[in-house]
Amino acid sequence: MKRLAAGLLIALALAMVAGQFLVPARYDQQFRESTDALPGGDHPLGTDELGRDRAARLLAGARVSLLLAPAASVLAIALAAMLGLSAGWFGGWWDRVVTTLIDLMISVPIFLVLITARAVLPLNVSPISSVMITFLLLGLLGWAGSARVIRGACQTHLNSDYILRALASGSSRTRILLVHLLPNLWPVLRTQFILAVPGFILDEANLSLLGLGVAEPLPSLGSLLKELTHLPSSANWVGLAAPALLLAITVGAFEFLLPPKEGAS
Amino acid sequence: MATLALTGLAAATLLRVAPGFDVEASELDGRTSAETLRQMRAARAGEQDILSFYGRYLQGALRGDLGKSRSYEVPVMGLIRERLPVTLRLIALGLAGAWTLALLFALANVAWPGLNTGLNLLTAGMLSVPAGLVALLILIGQGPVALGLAIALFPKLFSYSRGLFQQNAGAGYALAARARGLSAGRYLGRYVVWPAGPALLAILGLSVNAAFGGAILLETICDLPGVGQLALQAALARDLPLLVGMTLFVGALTVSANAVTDLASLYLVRSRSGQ
Repeated sequence: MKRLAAGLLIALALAMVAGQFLVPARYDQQFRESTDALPGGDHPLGTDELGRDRAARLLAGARVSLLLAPAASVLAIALAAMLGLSAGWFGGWWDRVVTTLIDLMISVPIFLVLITARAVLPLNVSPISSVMITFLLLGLLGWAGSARVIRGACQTHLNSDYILRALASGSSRTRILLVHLLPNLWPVLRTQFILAVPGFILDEANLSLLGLGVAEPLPSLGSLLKELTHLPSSANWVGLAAPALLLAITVGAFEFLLPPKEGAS
Repeated sequence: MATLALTGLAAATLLRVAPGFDVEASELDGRTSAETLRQMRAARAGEQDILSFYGRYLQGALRGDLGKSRSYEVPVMGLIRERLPVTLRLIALGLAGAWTLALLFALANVAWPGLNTGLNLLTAGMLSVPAGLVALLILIGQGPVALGLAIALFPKLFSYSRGLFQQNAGAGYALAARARGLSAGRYLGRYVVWPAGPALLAILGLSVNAAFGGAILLETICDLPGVGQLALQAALARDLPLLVGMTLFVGALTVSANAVTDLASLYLVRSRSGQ
């Protein structure tokens, strides 16, 4: 299953890169003579009400979501690692500060924090700026759960026999950090990263559905979902449902990439 | 309490530093007189210093006064009181549905391990769908909104419950009891579900938090006039008193829910260890 999931994600990445060769149009190019067209030769998924090629928009949307969600995850995990590791390493008052910060972030529904933070920033910005704002916010606000896990893992390792032996044999704190602790925390960081990516893709989708995500005309997998509201009155259900299907497959593939224990919990 | 106070302060600070906070569209209207402009700015003067604003606000909150909404021009407490029943009903029904399904499926999976692959695929599929999409589908299908919340909450609750049940089912004492011929019902009840009680209670507290997050999406997309929809409207209108009130109120509810379930969990652990 893991191999299938990895294969799917690689195929999707290749389709994104080769997107401009797979479909003949840009995501914002209008074909005014064929608006709301059904899937056919020129437009494999048809066109939207503005005459834009749905397949081109789907590939562009996938590119936005799949490039920026990992970028947001890198930011979130870097923050989580800095805070969690330093809290576990230094302990004392700094540990209490970080723990309070984590409690603060977790005590309020994260989606309430996200919409508040997104809404206080300008909404009428360029599409590129909206992408940057959305994913920066996701990265800056999505670190708390991972920081708690990393702090816990750091404390477990610091109290373990092998660290105590290293200390007893005269290893410096720098050496313990760089040679013993960080390599052993690497699997935790990697798992937290893989966990965060699908979460951020879903968060972006939810924000876009509320009109707080990526701005038009740039598509994202989330913003394309809004067109599902036309489903009852449209004959092009394939073109309308394709973003939802691609989103589910992408996020599902990330779920299957997780190690079994984390996937089950 | 400290977490709650800090949460409100963070929300107020965020709003205060937001671009355009101190500007109202009506101020740009050329017909607005200088006197009206002066009065509008004087009305907002108290919100300039975030700490003094928040200090006065907390004093009022302790008396049950959460201030007056700038966009609705009515007391915040009245707005919350008016919309709260809708949200509480949605959350109660959504949580009840999600927990019932999660526990039933988790138990079925422990009783029949052959279901594992199918349930793994189902959970992965449901985890891959954003709550907003569930809300859209409920809107299109004109289904009950609480069902949407239950669907959105189910996969994680199921995963946690199943993990706990499987852990208990694989414990040495449980396997020994089963090997001695204990009936399936007693084995599941006494050795699988009962020991998971404290952990399930702790997850129940956390699920209230998640339910509020889901309620914002479902109420907004399905146009249900609850607290979740009000939260988005407050954020979009940059209505500082309403947003801080909402944040404090939702924070208080989720923190209380967590505290109650934590205490119940602790009580359960202590009462069992005393047996």
